[in-house]
Amino acid sequence: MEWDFSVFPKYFSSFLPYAWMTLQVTFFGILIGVGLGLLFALLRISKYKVLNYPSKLYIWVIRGTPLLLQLLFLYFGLVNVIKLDKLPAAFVALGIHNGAYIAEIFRGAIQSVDIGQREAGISLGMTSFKVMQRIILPQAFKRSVPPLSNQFIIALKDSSLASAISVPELLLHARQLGSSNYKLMEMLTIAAIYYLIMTTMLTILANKIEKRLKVSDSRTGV
Amino acid sequence: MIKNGNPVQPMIKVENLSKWFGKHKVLNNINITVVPGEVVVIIGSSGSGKSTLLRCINFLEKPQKGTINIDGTEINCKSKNLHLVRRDVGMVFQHFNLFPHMTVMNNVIEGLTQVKKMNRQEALEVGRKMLDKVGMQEKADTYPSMISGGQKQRVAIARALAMNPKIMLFDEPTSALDPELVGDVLLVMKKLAADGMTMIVVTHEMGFAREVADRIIYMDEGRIVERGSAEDIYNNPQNERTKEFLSRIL
Repeated sequence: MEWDFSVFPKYFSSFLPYAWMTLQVTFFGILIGVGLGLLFALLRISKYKVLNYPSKLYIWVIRGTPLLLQLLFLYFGLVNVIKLDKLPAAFVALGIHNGAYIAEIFRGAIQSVDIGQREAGISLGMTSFKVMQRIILPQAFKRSVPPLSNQFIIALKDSSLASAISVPELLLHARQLGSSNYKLMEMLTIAAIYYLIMTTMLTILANKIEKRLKVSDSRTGV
Repeated sequence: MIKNGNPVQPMIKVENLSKWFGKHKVLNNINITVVPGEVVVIIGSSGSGKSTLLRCINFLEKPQKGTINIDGTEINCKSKNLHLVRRDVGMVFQHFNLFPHMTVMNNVIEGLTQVKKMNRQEALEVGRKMLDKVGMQEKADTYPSMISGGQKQRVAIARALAMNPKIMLFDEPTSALDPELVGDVLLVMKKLAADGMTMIVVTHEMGFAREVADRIIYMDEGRIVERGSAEDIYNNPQNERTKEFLSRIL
């Protein structure tokens, strides 16, 4: 296989708008995912079966089936129920998919907060809702940051699957260019560089946030 | 109830209280009456149900039987609005349970701003007074992770006091502390007792019990086995189990 380095400068900048699309798909996928994740995490820990069973079902189905299938299902499969454009379909599919994982991240973090915190809150006369809002969730969010940043990186890479419903993102562009200029390896390499830059920036950002949150955090948790 | 020759409405009245954990009966028909300003110390070996009893009084644990009457308000296991009753009952835990994501001051005023809906300026005013009371004013802006266990417990006491409770419950407040830090916490509690606070204290600090308690209750296997003044219990225990318990710890 021959490497043609000369094509790099020529094509590199043409990837930019597609990288932007990748970021958009990732951003909305995460945004919807965090919203659904929080909702389903709270339902999941409810003592009422009417609330926690649907949540269990959602997590079971979504984690148990491939994202690619979910994307195709939403875009092509539900055509007679709801007709979504490819972009909203990608946002929603990625959001629903990430929501299931993020729900489990939040659930774990909420349940890791010491029971004494809840007891201290209700002893002050707080309602369960207030305790969740003021005492439990702020601590749970903090603990969610490391697993969440991991999930966000996965979401960024998973956004490439949106190419299957022809969302014009990085991977789709690389493949289309590659098949027209016969430099597929080079085009994929450029796409890889873009992905690496974006995941690296995400990692750095996550580390910064983690560090900042540590300021008030205790080692003992008491 | 007679105190100083006058009938007094009891601050806490526990009647026929029973609780099971599964099949295990941890509280067996408990009856206690505490008058305003009284300090009651509950002693007993671990597993005797003394902490569970204390936690039942503000319904952190739900008893299956019996009623609790707090300053004239009767509550039982089916009561709604428990959170309204809990405002009047301050609770201090063995493991402090300070909120680690808030400064010392914010810990103290959390109940005031969130539960009593007091505005922040007023709350800070109260907060400073409370921290002053427990000698922690200088640490107002630090986080709980930066202070010692004894200091944490004093902040926890200030947090409970800020709500201006009618009763303070202490669940082994010094058991998790290094020995040299116990004194400061006990001092705060003694001051509180001297100020006339109604207190129920579960503790192993026998010196404190002797000095401060108006009454001591000895519990064993979920029952109140013996009750009386500190002098009576220490010098002249009637029950065999009480004698045995005291001989082990005194």
